[in-house]
Amino acid sequence: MKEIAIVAYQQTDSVSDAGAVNEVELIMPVLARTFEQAGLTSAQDVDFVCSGSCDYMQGAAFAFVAGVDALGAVPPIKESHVEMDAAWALYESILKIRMGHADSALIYGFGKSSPGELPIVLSQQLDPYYLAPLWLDSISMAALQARLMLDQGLITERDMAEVVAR
Amino acid sequence: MSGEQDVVTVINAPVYLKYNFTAGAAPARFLSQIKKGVLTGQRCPKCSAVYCPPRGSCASCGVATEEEVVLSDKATVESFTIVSIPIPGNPIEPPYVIANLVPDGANISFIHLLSECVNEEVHIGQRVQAVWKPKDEWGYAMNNIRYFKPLDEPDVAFDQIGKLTVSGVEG
Repeated sequence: MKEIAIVAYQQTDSVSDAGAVNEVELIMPVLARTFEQAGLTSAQDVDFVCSGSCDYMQGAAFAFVAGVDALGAVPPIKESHVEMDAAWALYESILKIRMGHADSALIYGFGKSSPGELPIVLSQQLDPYYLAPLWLDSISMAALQARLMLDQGLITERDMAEVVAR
Repeated sequence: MSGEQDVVTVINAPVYLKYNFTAGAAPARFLSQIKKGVLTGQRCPKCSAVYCPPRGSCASCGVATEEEVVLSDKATVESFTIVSIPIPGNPIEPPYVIANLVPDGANISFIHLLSECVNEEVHIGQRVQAVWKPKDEWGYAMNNIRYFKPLDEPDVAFDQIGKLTVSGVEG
């Protein structure tokens, strides 16, 4: 099986509020730094590009399409997108390379969480939505896990408080 | 389930999420100009294409469009469609014309309304000009321009659409 290596990696600073810039404006400088790190000029130099993002974060349908505007996709490039995150995009890219459809891939994940209430927004991303949303957000999920662990005696309130106090 | 009860086959479960939308740095520059009644574009430093409204990048080259360019409010019809079916939530009554318009000085089209025209006579290459709302109604929005209306100017040849300078057909 083909060996795969990560040859360049960059990310934006994690800030609580990204201010007035939009997604394309956040992505472009990071891509530029990544290309520089790998000695490439643009997305034209890689065989395959895959992005991962969550439309609920942007609050718009097909919002990931705007991300493509950061790539310089003329002449056309081979490009794909997954709804979730960069890890999922990495998975698709690994499959693409392992299947022999590409020798290199550019993977990027993006999302600007500051416009919305992140736990509530993300509750929608993974909600199974069988009949109506469950609205199970990350904090409620953590609470359920904590309760389960407390009830099974795997952890004590004191153990958790010590983590918080660190 | 008891026979007397109605069988529930459908429920509504709407999802409401609140966002503080930000247009982006480049669109914000455009919007603060259109609030003053000035249509601007932004030029790609690589391929020189002028975008209006700018989104932040040249989609072809993948670079930021920093240079700001003042455009004319005269434009050319690149393509159009006559809408005959009402769209839910849209207050405009059909039939009406939606067109891709390239303002003079820009290379990429935007979508806007055409009005004060004979719908059946709208055509590609037709010259049009913006009809602005009264100045005191201007906000940070493209609908400061109410619609575009036909101009009494010669048509632009197909291969010249999107290539006019800011001085228009004379330029």
